[in-house]
Amino acid sequence: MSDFNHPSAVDRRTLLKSGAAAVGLAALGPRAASALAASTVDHQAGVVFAPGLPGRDYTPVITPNGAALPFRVVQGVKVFHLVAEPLQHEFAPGLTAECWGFNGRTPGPTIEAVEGDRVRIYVTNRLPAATSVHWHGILLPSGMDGVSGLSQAPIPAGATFKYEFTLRQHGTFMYHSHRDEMTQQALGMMGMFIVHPRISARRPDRDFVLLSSEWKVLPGARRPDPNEMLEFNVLTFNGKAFPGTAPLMVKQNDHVRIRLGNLSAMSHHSIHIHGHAWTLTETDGGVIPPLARWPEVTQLVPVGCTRTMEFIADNPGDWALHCHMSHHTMTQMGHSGINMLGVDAAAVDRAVQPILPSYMTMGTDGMGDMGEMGMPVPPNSTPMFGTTGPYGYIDMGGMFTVLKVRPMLRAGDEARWWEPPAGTLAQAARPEELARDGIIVEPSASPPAAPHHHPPPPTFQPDRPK
Amino acid sequence: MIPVQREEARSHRPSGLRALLLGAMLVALPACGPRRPGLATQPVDALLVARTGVAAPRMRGVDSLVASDSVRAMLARPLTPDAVVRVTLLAQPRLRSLYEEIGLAQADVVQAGLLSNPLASVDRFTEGRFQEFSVALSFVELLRRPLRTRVARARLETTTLQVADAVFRAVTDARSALAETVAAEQSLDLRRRTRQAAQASATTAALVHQVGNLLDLDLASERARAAESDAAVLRAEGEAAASRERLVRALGVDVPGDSLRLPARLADLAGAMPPRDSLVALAVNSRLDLAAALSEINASAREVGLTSRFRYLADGSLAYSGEAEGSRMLRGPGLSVPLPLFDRGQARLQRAQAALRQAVARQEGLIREVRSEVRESLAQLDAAQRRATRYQADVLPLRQRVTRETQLLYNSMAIGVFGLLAAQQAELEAGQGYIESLRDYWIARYHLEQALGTRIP
Repeated sequence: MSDFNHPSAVDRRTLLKSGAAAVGLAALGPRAASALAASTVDHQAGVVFAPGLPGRDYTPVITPNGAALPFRVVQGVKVFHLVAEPLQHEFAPGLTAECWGFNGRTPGPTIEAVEGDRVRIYVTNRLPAATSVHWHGILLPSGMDGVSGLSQAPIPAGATFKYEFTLRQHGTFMYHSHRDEMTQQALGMMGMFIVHPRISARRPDRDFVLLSSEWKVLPGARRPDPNEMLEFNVLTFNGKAFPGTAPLMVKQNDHVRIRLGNLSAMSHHSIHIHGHAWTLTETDGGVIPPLARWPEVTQLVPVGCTRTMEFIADNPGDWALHCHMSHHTMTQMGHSGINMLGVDAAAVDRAVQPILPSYMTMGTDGMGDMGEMGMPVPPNSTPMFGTTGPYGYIDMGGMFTVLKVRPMLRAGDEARWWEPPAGTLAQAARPEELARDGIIVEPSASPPAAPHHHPPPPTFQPDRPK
Repeated sequence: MIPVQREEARSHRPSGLRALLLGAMLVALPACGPRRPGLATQPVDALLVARTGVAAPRMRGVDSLVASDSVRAMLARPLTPDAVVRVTLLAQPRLRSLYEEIGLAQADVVQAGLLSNPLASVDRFTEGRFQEFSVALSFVELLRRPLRTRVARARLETTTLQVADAVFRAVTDARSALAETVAAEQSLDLRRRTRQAAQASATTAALVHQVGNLLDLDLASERARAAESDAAVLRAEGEAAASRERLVRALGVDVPGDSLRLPARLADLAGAMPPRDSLVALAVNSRLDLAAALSEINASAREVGLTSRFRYLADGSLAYSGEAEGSRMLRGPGLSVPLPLFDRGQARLQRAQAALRQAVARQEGLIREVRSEVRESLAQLDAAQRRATRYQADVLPLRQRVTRETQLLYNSMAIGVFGLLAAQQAELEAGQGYIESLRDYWIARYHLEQALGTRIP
């Protein structure tokens, strides 16, 4: 990492001869960065930095289920190429939709750079509609801000536009379409833009990026509905709904950073971590001074914000990391059903099965078992949640992932469950324990609830969708 | 003995088929003289077999016991359209009364062939002795007899055709009535299944409401729907019972409607539409009422001939008489004729000519109606066939698919049980639409048969 000062009246040829990346003063845009933006170096004096390199200048972030956007350095400028295009995206096993994204994925690949880098980002539009890209939270010249109609003309279908600016701050930022946002973001046109500090006191061991978004994909439909305002039924971290979310693999006592971004259309998210307390160290507006930081176990990430959380992963195990809004941990949950809690299921079955032999009453004791019933469901839809865990069915979906903290990280740990040491697992209380502790369990006065499963009659033949 | 057509009727002269039918009929027609009852219907039966494709049972009147056994046997099995024809022919008293029209016309033929009895008179005067005698016979009647017989036979032919037409209509109506009744039964079955679904929905609503999860409003709505579906069943029950009685009357049997055994369902569509361009010609050749109208022209023309030939000679008799002159008997022939001074037959002729003109006009009107009726029934049949096909090929499979897809959505808990039962009810409603379209198709077919006067080719 080298930085060097230039006289303010430096001429261009001298710069080029010096072999360093040259940045014209005019290209710097505003003379000063926003006063509060995080910065580790002085951008005022026309300083030009060599492009930051992974490993040397920063530890690359990990985007679970995602990818990093490759770049090449051309004459001291980092050149990226984003291609906006339609694609087929899988939210979770069995649920795929026609989305729009960048470079074949949604969210698009994570852009990573270093404070002081000069970046040149080409955006090719392969969508059927015009588009533009906004660099959310990044301080740059007005004409590079990507707001279609306000700061630039829209990028027509088939055209390639060039954005170029110098990064004069570090932090967690995002990029997303800023033309017909309602449609283009609902279809997935977004990604994360990470800017590492030029000078870093301490780099975390693991640096994760999680971008939240929400979708409306009706069971059996093949395309997200951009008209939806309220009833989003697919909620994702990096475009994936549990069990499609890849776990976050962490070695015990690692310094872990998790950068949370939210580009949901209408929902703020309360991201809750189990087994640890974490600290809010940065927002997209900058670094929070240490004395002002908030310890949290649940961090609200409003729409259009990023929140950077840090903690020491000192508690080994398999820990849930999820949005605490209950309906955000369900996938394709319908909200037009009837509340069947407490209803006499057998009586309903007796009334309905003569007419509909494949009918079976559900939800009379809640929905915890719905996902594992294996009832035939519409094509291209998922059970509402879940997968099989070490102690039965994990009845979660949507914005839910697992933070796996292990004393040693071995290959294949992603698929292995935590084995709790003796005495660290909740189990049924033994009679002698109850007696020892004076716990008296009165026999229940009310009869036990009727069994909630009423398997369909043996004649039940689900229709194969044609 | 093909009736000679008058000039004005010649343009509508039937072609070979009708000539053949008439020929067959006239060969079978009794020439004259008394007949055993029962045989008079043979020409009618022949006409019907060609038109309905059903061999007419040969037992009526005298064989009523056999006939009623045979009707009982046919009523013991579910009725088919052909069985309906046979039962109607055997059992329908209205048809038996129609057949007697032929008997009346036959009696007229016999009557026309008979001569009036000779008139014998004897006069006796006061001495108590036989004074005078005479025997008189109408010679005009003798002259008129062949013509008169021909007129009566022409009338018999007209009557036979009219009766055959009425019988054909009656058996076709009975087939229609069967289709209506089967459709009403199927509708009733569907309405009952709809009620079952609506009641299941209401029962579920009550169970959900009971544990505090449903608004009073929603429970009331579900109950209202269930009650409405029950009202629809009651209406369908009335319609089914009424249509059974209409079928009983069409058959002319003496059993309660609810004892009739019916096929489980209406027959499927009977294949492609007939070739439409030949149908009007077929109707002109086949319609028995049209043949009867032509025959009526023929009879009226003969009546005019008969009336004009004997216009001035309305009556007249030859006599042989004798008179006692003392002890001698004077004998000799005599002739008496009315002198046409006042009644010169002009009124009789005028009447016969008016009747002929009337018959011609009737036939002309009828042929226009026939052509239009064929076009109308064809349009109805075409629409009904396309509608029923639409239901069969699209509406029903799609509604079934909707129910299946709704079941899948229910399984994924995207919707509740009420939406599922509503989909099932919509499927039953589509079934209702299909039954109605199939019923309309069969009724349109029978209408077309009546318009053609024969089976659809």
